[in-house]
Amino acid sequence: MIELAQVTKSHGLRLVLDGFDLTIRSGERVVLSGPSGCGKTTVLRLIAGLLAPDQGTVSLNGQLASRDGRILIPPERRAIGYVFQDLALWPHLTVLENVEFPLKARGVDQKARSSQVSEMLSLVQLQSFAQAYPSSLSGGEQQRVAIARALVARPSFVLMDEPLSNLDEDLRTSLGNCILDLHKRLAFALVYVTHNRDEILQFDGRTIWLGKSKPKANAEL
Amino acid sequence: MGGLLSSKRFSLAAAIFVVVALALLPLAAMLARSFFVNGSISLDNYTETLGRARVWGLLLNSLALAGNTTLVAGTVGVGLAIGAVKSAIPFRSAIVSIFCLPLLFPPYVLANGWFQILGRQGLVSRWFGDPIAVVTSGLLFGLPGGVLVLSTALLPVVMLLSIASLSSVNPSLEDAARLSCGWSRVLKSVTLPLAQPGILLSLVLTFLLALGELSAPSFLRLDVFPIESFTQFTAFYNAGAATAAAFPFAAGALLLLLGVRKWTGAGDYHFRWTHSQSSSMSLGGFEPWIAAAVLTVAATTVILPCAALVHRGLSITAITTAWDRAADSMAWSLLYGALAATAITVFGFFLGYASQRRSIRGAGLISLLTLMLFALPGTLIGIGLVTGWNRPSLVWLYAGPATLIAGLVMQYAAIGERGIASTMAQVAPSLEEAAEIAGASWFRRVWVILVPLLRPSLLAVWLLAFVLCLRDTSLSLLLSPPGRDPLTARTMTLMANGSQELISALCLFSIVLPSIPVMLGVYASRSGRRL
Repeated sequence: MIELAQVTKSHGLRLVLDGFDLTIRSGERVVLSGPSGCGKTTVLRLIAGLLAPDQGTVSLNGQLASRDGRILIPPERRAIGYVFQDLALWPHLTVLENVEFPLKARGVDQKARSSQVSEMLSLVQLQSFAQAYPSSLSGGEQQRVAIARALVARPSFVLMDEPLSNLDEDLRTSLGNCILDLHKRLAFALVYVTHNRDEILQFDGRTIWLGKSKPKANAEL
Repeated sequence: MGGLLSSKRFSLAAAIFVVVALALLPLAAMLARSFFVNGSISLDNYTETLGRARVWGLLLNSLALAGNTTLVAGTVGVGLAIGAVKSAIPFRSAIVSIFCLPLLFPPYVLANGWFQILGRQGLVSRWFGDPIAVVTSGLLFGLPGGVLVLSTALLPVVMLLSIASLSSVNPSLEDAARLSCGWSRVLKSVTLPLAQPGILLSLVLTFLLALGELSAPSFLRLDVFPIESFTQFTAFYNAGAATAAAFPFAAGALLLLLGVRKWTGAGDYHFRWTHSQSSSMSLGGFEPWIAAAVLTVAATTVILPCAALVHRGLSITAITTAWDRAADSMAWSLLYGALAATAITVFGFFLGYASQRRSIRGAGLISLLTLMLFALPGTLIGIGLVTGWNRPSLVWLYAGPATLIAGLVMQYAAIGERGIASTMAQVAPSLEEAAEIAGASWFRRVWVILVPLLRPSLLAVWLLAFVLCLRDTSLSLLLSPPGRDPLTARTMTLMANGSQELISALCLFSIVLPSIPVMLGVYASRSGRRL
C-alpha cells in the first residue's frame, strides 16, 4: 500500500501540493488527472522517492519512506516501476540492455535475467527488436520498451506519467489495452497519470482529480 | 534563394575560404619547404632531426608531461564537474570560479608563483631552511612541477567541457536508473557514458594543449619538444628542422581528433526528451566537509601561487618599474586582443552557421579544422605564418601586427565556430525562414533576426577569444612586430634577466589585464539578466 499523508510540496515559490492525502491499495488501478502544472508528476516523483515532501509523509507497505524533506528509503529500494513521460530510454543501450538494467542492478543472476527479460519482451511483442537501439524504433515501440523496463523486476507498484500522450489515437488505444492486460496478468498497483478523457474512460479505475489551485485529499472525479 | 551565387552562399564560402587559406596555405608551404634542402628535394631535415636520440628523449619528456597532466587534470576536473552538476555541495559556484581563474592568465604566471614559494630563494627557504628548498626547487624544476603547473592551468578545460557535457544529460535518464540502483552505478552506467563525447574531447584537448605548451616548460627549464622546435627556429632560423621537429605533433593531433570524432560520431544521440526536475546526488551528509576540502585544494593550487606573486611583486618600486617597462605592451595586448577577438567572432559567426546548418558542402569538416588548429602548438602556427608571409612582396603586411592577428585568429577560430554553432542549434531554422519568406535578404536576416538572437553568445565568444588572445605566449613571441610586443612576449623576454620583483609585478599585470574585461562582462551579463 502507498500512503501520502498531509504532503506539502513547492517548486521554488510555487506551491504545488498543499496538505495532500492519497492512499493506493495493492493491485489497485488509480488514474491521476488534472490540468498542466497541478502536481500530477510531482505526486509520482514523491512516491518513487525522486523528490522528498517539504512536509508530510510518504509510506510504502506501512514503512515510512519519506518525511519532512528527507528521503528515508532511496528510490532503488522502493521496488517501483516508472514509465516516464519522455520515456527516458537510455540511448546508448540496446532494447535488451535497457530492459535488463533493473535486474542487473539488483544482482539477479544471468540465467534468471535472460528468462525474465525474454518473457517481458515477448509480453510486449518486442523480441525481434532486442538488439536494436531505441532511436531506431517507432514511438509505439519505444513506449513498449519503457513499459517492459518498468515491469521486468515485477514491482508491486507501477507509476506511469502520461506514457501515451505523444501517440496517435489508434496506437494509444491498443497500447492502453496492452497496459491493462499486463496489469491484470501481473497484478501490480497502477498509478496512471493522464489528462486525456478517453484514457480516463479506458482505464476505468479510481480517478483522482488534482485541481489547479490547492489539490485536496482524494478529490474524486 | 538557394542559387549558386546567392549572397548567403557567397559570404559563407568567403569566410571558409579566408580561414582555410589563412590556416592551410602557410602550413602547407611550411611542410613543403621542410622537404627542400639547398633547393633540391630531400628528407634531410627529417632524418637529421628525427635521427637524433635527443629528439626522441624530448618526445618522451613531452609525452610524460602531457600524459601526467591529462591524468591529473582529467581525474580532478571530471570529479569536480560531477560534484558541480550532480551534487548539492555548498559553494559550488565559488569552487568552479576559483578553479577557472587560471584560464585568464598564461601558465608561466603559475610557474613563477610556485617559484616564489618553492624556489631556492622562495618562501619555503625562508620558513624551513635551504635544505628543504633545494628539494622543493628540484621538484618544481622537473616533471612534478611541470605537471602541477600545467594541470592547474588546463584543469578549467576539462572541468568546463565536462560540466557542459554532464549538464546536457537528460535528468530523467538518470532518474530512470535511480529506481534500480544507487548514484555510483547511475554515474557509471548512464551519466558518464552519455557525457563521454564531451569528456573525451576535453581530455584529448588537454593532452594536446599540454603537449604544445611553451611558456611554463620554458620557465621551468623542462626539455620538451615545443622548446626544441622554437629554438631551432628562433636561434638557428632553421624552418625546415623546426617543421620536422613540430610535424609529428600536427600529425598526432589530427589523428587523435579524427579518432575522437570517429569514436563519438557513433554516439551522436538525438532523442526526444524534455527536462524534468533533477534530483541531486546525496553524499551522506559529508557535503560541507567535501566543500571545505575542495576549497582548500583550490586555494592551494590557484590562490597560493598568485598570493606569492603579490607578496613578491606588489611594491611601489616593482610596480613602477614594471609599468615603465611594460605599459606600452599592455596597450598593444589590448589592441591585438580586441582586433583578433572581433575577427574570431565575425568569422566564427559564418563558420558556426555553415557547420551547424550544413549550408555548404563539406561544411561538416570546418569544426574538425578549427579544433585541430586550436590543438596545434602555437609555435607550429607561428613558424607556418613566418615561412608563408616573410617575403619581399608582403613586407608591408608582415612588418605590422597583421601576422600576429592572423595567427591568433587561426589558433582560436574554434572558440568562435563552436560557440556560435552550439547556440545556433537552439535557434529554430523556421525563424530565419519566416523572414526569408517575408522578403528579407540574407544580410538583413543575419542583422535583424540572427544577431539579436545570438547576441549573448556573440558577446561571450568575443570575451573568451579576447582573454585567450591576451594570455597567448607562443604566437606573441614569434610574431610580434619589433618594439610592439604584447605583455606576454615582453614578460617572457624580461624573464631572462629581470629581477624577481619586476617579473612578479609583470605577472600581476598578466592577471589583472584580462580580469577587468571578464569582470565587466560578468557584470554586464548579470545586469542584462536582471533586466
